[in-house]
Amino acid sequence: MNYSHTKSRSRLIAKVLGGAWRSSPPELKCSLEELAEVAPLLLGSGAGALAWWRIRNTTLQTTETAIELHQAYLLHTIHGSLFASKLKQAVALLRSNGVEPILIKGWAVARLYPERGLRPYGDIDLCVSPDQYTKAKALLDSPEYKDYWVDLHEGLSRHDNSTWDELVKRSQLVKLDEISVRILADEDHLRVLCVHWLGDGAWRPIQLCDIAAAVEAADSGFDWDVCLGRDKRRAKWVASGIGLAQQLLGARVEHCPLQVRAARMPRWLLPTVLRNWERPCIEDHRPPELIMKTLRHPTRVPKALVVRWPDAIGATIRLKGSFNQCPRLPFQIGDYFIKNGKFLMRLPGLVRARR
Amino acid sequence: MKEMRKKTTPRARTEGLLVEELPHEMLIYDTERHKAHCLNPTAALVWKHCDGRTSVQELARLLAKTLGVSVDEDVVWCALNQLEKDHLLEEKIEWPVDVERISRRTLIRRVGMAVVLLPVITTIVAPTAMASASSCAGPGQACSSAHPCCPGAGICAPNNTCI
Repeated sequence: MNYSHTKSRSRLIAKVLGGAWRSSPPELKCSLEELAEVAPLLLGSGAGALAWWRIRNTTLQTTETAIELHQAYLLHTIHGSLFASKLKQAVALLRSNGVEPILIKGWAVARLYPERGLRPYGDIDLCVSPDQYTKAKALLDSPEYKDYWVDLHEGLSRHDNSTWDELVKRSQLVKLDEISVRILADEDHLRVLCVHWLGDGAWRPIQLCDIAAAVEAADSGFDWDVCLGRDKRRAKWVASGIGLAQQLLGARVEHCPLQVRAARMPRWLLPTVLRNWERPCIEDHRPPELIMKTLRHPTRVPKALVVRWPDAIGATIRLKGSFNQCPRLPFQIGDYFIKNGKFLMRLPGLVRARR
Repeated sequence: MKEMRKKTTPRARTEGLLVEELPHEMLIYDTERHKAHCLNPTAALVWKHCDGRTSVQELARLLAKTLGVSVDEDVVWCALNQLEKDHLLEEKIEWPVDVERISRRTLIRRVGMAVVLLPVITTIVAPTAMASASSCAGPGQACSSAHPCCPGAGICAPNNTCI
């Protein structure tokens, strides 16, 4: 079968990753040609190890493609060990100075997977109380810790609308070897994962796997009211994230409340995600060159303005819009001008000055 | 010379290594050289039992017992050769003059052992498509201010490589 049509490729990514976060993923019915076609996209997006996990006991396991996917798994495993070791030291440093950080994403979500190496690791996302941010930053900025790549967040207001005190009160301590690391309550973490993924434009398939793993890990003690929160708009975002995990990756949602299962996703959402999955590699989503730098090469300005055009999903989340059937263009225009308006207003003057 | 063989008691390096044991392989990350190695079960067994007291002869016996097949001492020497090259031993081995540094290919011919039982150590390299898969770069990978080195992958050197 020829999967040159990109929509089919994003569907194929979804097919390969379906249930891949489980200890025993479902059997993958996929040809070697199909797998070879999407392998570079899976590897480039950080989902290579999960693809290997799905094919490791199939006839595909000895193929060249499988060997590459296996290498990704080995690398993630090593990165996972390094990440854990750095995380423990960073937490110990902050704690010994009276700062209690909360870890989000990274290891906090990787622990939901059957093995450490199934997910990639980047920087260490630590959130601290806003009134302790300066102190924590000074500690982590010391030369000894400069290669720790801690992404320090001042509270969690960028990701969530709960207050810091509420999040701390509900947070939990989980064991990481000999120490305990504070992470968000499962309810808060699922909400943050959904909103963060959508806010980024929902282009990364591995993050939908994170959502799927978190949804399936929700047991009878999981408080869905806390997860969905009081804000109806945000609750719809979360329900849509879960709905996408079910529709695209086959996540089990039978245990979710009716509010989640019956939530109607807007018509534009699924096609937009599939379109975004046509370019799932991190390389395609690097921040563009600083726009002021672009001015040194005026011919690049039109392209620089085009690449900054926001995607429909991220723009809606950033502008706190509803997930409804209305067109997304107003959100995209609004988001574009908020981000680039200042520059656009100054552009004519800057161009004149350069002449 | 046989006496010297008996006296060879290699010791595995422990400092500066991160070890992760998986069901079918052992991963070792050298935090000084920023290199990751993958040891197959035979190589891993040899490395784990290199305690500075166990001789090559004893290592061969241990391997035979664990793998359930007879194991020639040459298999252990072959593993030690690779471990030494990859800086996974505490100190250099004093090679007895009658022991040559055997490659796996020679070993297959000489011992006629099943290939899967031979010691293999591979260096883990990121597949090309994955080189940019992470939001940070791994050891030896290209880095920049927008694509920093991962925790433990070193610092971004002026040649834009994590070292």
